[in-house]
Amino acid sequence: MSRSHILVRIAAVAFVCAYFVFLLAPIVVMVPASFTAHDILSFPPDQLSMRWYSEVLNSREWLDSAAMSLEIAIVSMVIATVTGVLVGFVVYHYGPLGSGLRLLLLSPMLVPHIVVATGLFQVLVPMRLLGDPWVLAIAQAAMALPVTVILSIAAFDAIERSLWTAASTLGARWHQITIKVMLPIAATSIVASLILSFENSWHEVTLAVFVGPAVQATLPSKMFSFLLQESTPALAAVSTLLLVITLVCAAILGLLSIRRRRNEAQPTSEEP
Amino acid sequence: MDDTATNGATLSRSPAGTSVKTAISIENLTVRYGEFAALKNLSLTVADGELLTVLGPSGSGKSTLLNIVAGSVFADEGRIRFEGLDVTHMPPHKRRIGMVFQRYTLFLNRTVAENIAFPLEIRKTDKDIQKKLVAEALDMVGLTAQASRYPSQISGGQAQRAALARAVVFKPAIMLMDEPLGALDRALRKTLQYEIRSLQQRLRVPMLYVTHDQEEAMSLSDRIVIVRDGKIYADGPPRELYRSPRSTWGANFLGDANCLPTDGVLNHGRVEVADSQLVPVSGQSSGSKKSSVLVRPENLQVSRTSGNNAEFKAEVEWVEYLGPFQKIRLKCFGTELVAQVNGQSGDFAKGEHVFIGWRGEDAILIEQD
Repeated sequence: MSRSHILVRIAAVAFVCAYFVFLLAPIVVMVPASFTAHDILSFPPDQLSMRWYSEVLNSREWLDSAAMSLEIAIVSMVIATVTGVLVGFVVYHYGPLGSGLRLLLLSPMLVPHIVVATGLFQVLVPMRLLGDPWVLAIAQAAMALPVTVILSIAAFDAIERSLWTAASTLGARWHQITIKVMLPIAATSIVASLILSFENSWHEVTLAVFVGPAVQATLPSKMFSFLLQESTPALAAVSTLLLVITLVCAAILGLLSIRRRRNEAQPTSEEP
Repeated sequence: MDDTATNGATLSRSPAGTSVKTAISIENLTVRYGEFAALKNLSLTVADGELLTVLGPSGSGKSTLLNIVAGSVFADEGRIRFEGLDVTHMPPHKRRIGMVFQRYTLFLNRTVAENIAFPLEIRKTDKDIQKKLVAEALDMVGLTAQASRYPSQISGGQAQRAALARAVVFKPAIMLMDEPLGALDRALRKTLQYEIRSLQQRLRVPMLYVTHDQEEAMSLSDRIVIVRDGKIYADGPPRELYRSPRSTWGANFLGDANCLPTDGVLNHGRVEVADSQLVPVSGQSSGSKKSSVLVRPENLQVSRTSGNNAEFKAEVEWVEYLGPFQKIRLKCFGTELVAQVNGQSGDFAKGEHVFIGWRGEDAILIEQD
């Protein structure tokens, strides 16, 4: 290996390390800080306690926010995933989407959230819909569409075209084929899509701050306004709780990808 | 030959003389994809218990024909009847057809046994009866040991066996096979061909089998229908189609053929071909200027000495030794001929001058396309 080659390698490794340190540092600071017994955020904590967790979990305000976040995230998740699956069915039956439609569905990925948020704000004010949880759920679902659509198209594209005809000749009607054949095959992608669109809404800040409910705000929105006023270790505790939920979601996704590799292979061509 | 099929008679005579029902009758079927007509006014019947192969090159419309019978494509014109019942507009799930596809169509999230149980599950068959029928079907295709495996854990041949079991377990009225062995290797294809044939005979279920493999068609079928450009080119038992093809295209499509253009005027059992040579042929004058003498390679005799059935001079161009027989490419009458001779008989060398010929009864006059 040449010298310049080695240097490039070292630089690449260093870059990746720095990248991860940068990404993980806030978490490394936040988690221990949440276990402090003091009134102010400090790192490292000199005295460990669950004080701020009990404060957060006993606070009406935080719990209401969490409930609001959860409701919106679930509605948003269902809308985004169902739409994604429907697009998947269209692609399965009628072939690839036209480039215009594809671009439209993927555009939320390209447009900055802040642009969507300010645009929505101006539309929603005259309609007196600002702060409506349903509107926020729909807006967040739209932002999650690129992910759910891509996952769903990939899943349905991989399903053999004659599988539908096969199930149909075996006596199954369209709804039976959908429920008993297609959805189970696409199940891993659908679950992944549910998790990712849930996550998308669960930690989304920009839209929540601009057009979301104000009095009973979603959790990220509430954290943002809380941070502007005071910065107690309660914030670290909430962050850590959010982190745990995200890790659980990531773990489920990881397990899904293993299951998928094992169970969705075609028969091999060699004979035993 | 098309005419007998067009009548779509509900009763026809089997070779044994007993009357058999028509399982499938297709009448004046036309299917268009935009400007392109995939099938043109095609008529066809399948008798009860018959294994009919639809053979044709790719793009001939044979898959469209099968999809029409399956109900996944609808006809622009024409009718389809199953045992007299009009199913032209009937959706696939009501047609009681067992179909096996070229691509693997097992449900990957279900075990082999669960796959086979699927049609019974849909029909809400009693659980105990389901178990019994699935066990029977598994046994029939020899997959009892693989019952609880997932499709990813079995081989391609086993997958097609499972698909076959799934297609027969609910006792379909007819069976459709869409190149079911297309994805498998040669040796396996042979075994499965035999299994499909014996299964079909045991169940006495009419079967419409689509393939582009003429050897497969010949070895499986009661009757072969050759489709070309969306129309029926020929219809008959394998022997008949091989021995007396309608034209040079059919002769070349079904096996190898030596076709020598001639004016078709018979004189003392001979016709004139290129180089003003007079070659023996059976039958009568064809009455068409565009005719050909057909000699199958296995009827072409090659000899080092001139003799009764070896009267024309030829030059060996290439010898292909295949074990039980060898194929010899020869230059004669200004064209290239192929002879198939016994693998044990004399070895010919490239460039060697030989004599060739055939018995008059081994050559016929056919139309030249």
